[in-house]
Amino acid sequence: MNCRTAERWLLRRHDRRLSPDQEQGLDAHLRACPMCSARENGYRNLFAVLGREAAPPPRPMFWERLEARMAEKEQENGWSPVRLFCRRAVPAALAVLSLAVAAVLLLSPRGEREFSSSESLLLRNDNPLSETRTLLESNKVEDKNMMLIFASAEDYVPPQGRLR
Amino acid sequence: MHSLAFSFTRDAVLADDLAQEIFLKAWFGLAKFKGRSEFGTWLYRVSVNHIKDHLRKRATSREVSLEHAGGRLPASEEGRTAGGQAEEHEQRADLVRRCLDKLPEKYRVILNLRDIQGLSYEELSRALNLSAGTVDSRLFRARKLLRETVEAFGEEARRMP
Repeated sequence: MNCRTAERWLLRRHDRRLSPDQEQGLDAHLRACPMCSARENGYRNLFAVLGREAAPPPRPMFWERLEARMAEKEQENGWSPVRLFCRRAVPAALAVLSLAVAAVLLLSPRGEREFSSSESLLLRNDNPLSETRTLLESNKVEDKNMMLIFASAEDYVPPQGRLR
Repeated sequence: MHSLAFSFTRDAVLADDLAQEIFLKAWFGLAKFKGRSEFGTWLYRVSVNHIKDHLRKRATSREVSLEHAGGRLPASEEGRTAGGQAEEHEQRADLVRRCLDKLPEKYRVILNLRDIQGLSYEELSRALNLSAGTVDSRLFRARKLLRETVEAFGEEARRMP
């Protein structure tokens, strides 16, 4: 047996966790090894000190003071559901509000925009110049002039239908 | 609970306060006790965790002067002649307490629970949530370290004039 095992067994013997055979082996080692024998004395002194460590009794009125603290704590805990609700409800309400504002901004219908006749023609993929060309190619000069005058107005519709 | 708190703090007033805080914690946390272990073991676990928290908070503001403790330990012969064996025992106990306070927290906890409070290995295992093998090895290291620390400071004190 080496000294490290002997030290481990010394402590196991203190805890009554050593078999009789192991105890015999340990005793034989202790008789032959003065260092381990000194260690045994060291541990014996140590356990003697630790074993005598007695705590003083609690201070007077321990239970009365404890009851008072418990009552105080219970009173505090009475408020805790309200606090807990507030702690959760406020951020939740803010989150819902932010989402609602975002939804309103994103989904709200925008006002219809008025397009000019040229923009309308371009949006319909029509060439605005073709209308002008039709007017210019008209046979009668009076008709051409009249049509040009009325074409400048937004609501003009030629008699033969809308010109393209 | 009070005794456990005192063994860690060495302060009767603080131990009293800690014991009350542990009671409150256990009382209001009773719903967390699922009955998987004995009630006493659960209570020990609550106590140890609370005391550990307290020690950690206090760790930065507190330093134990081992030199001071070692200096007060007289040579055994001197001790016997000067104040008798009782005084020597008290001085030795004081040195052991101070050396215990100097150990790493995990060793201090296990030594307190086993060698001062007298918990069994099984109770230690459940209270500290450690395997039986870890309890065995940690306790061995803790005791060895405590013995070596006490011997080192004892030797130093004897060498001092």
